[in-house]
Amino acid sequence: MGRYLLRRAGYSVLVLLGVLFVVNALVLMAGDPATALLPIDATPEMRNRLEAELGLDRPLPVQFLHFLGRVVQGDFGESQSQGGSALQLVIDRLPATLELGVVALVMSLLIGLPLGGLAGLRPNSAVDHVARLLAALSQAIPAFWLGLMLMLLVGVRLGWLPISGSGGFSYLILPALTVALSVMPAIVRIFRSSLLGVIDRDYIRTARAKGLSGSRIFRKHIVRNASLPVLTVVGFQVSSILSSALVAEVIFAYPGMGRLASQAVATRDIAVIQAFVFLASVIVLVTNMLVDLAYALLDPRVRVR
Amino acid sequence: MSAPAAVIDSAERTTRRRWRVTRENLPAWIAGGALLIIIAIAVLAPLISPHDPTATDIRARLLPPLWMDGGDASHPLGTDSIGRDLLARILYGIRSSLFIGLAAVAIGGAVGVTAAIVSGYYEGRISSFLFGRLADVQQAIPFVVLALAIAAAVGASFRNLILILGLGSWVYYYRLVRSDVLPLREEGFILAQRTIGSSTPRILIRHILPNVLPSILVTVTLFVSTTIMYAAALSFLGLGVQPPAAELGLMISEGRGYIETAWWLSVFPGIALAIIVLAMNTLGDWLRDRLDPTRRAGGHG
Repeated sequence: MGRYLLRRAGYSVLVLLGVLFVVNALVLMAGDPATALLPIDATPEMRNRLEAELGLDRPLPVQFLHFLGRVVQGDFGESQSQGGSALQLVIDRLPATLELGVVALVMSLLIGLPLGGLAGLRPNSAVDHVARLLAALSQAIPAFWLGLMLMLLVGVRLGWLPISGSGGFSYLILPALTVALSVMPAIVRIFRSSLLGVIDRDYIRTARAKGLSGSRIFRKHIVRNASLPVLTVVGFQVSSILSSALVAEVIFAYPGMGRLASQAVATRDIAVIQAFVFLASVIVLVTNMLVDLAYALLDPRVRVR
Repeated sequence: MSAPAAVIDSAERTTRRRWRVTRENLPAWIAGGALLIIIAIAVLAPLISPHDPTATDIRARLLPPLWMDGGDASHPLGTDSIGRDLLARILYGIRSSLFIGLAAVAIGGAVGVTAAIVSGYYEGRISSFLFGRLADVQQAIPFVVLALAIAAAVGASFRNLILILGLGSWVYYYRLVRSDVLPLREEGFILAQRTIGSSTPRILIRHILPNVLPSILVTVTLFVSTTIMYAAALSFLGLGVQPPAAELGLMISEGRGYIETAWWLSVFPGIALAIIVLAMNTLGDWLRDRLDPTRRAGGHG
């Protein structure tokens, strides 16, 4: 287990290095930084001085190492629009986004598991058809549009919930529901199909032949075996939850890091965007690692690989 | 001699039943019909559109749809804040959504499938290591986050949106197609080609590619809709198609400010978008069930 953990962590660090390479490349994609910072009538000497100051005169691998050195110290540069450390700005918004993501995940499980469970235990029944239709619909309806419609119906017409801003749980419900409904179809589908794959197995028949009660078979044999694929899917969904959260934050003016980043696009505040991409991938890599570890704990066969 | 004939006959009948309009196939037929209409709209938009989608008319601002009080017959779905006809903009919006979806999938598919066939065939070599790690890195960054970062760096435009969506999605085609290529490598007919001295490009194009085409087809139908959805989301965030162009996501975003007074501005483009995606997903799921033999038995999936 220890070796598995170590190998898994080492791999994540390698991927993170790759992500940082992409993050560093963003500056190059954005065009020549010196031109952007210098006045139009700058002399060649001024340009050389600035380029030396920014390290732009050095070869690319050296620039990347220099960048890595800064990242290790938590330095992504200063925010051009708001001043101060770019990383700190994004970290300040992190708790709000995490809160939104976790509440959305819990909501999507609360909706998706019962739907997928009922559908999987009674394939081709009316419940199954309704569950699959709901999954297909919420997959087809764009999350950002659904968010607006929720805002229109629940917020504006009915006036039950605040439509934008933050402060307390009531501000969290609509954005979280928007994110949850975009994640829910995957959970319904995977739980349904993994239940279908389990219920006609030999060991279920054996359990039934032994005379175990239906609810005991369901709890001990069916759910336990069918929940592993759900865990994997939830792990993969972290990335799409972050994507949907970004959109939901913009719609509901929710003060998370996605909203900060989309404001940074408007001001071309590359440092903030770099820190944002970095933090988002750290979240994805860490949760993927936790899911793999949970998987290894629950299913000993994985560790052998 | 009658037995083989009967077998063929029954096989043919099953094939026919698989495609015929039955209760089971009905959703796919409806989706197919809807998709044909959508494609016709996209192609014919300039001919059937009642107005120029960018023509403004300050005397006809924020007109409601025809069936509401104050509705105007020449603007059946109403107008926006600068008097542009909503119906015309939706028709053109469908056109640009479809174009973006197809173009991005073509780019991403070409890159992803090529990478998959090459690295799948040379399993264990440098290419498969490189592509694999690149894919890992890309999948560690949430798609919208990556798209936002690139759009911020290179600027948002119609062309950049297609490039971002295309190059940002190669990894999905790569992973799916590669898993199909790997088992093919050891097949007898491939080994035979190698034995008779066929060149590698010839084996890849003439023998590997045709065998993975069905799964490419399914992947593509399922991904055009996903791509269209992402394109609309990015345009909604201001990272894609720029005003005054007509694009469904952009229109939903423009209608946001009028959600309390002129709901139709964001409601109708959203419905159009949902119909496109629903039709494509239904047809894609159905195609997958037909073309993938492992899924053909029963209602699993």
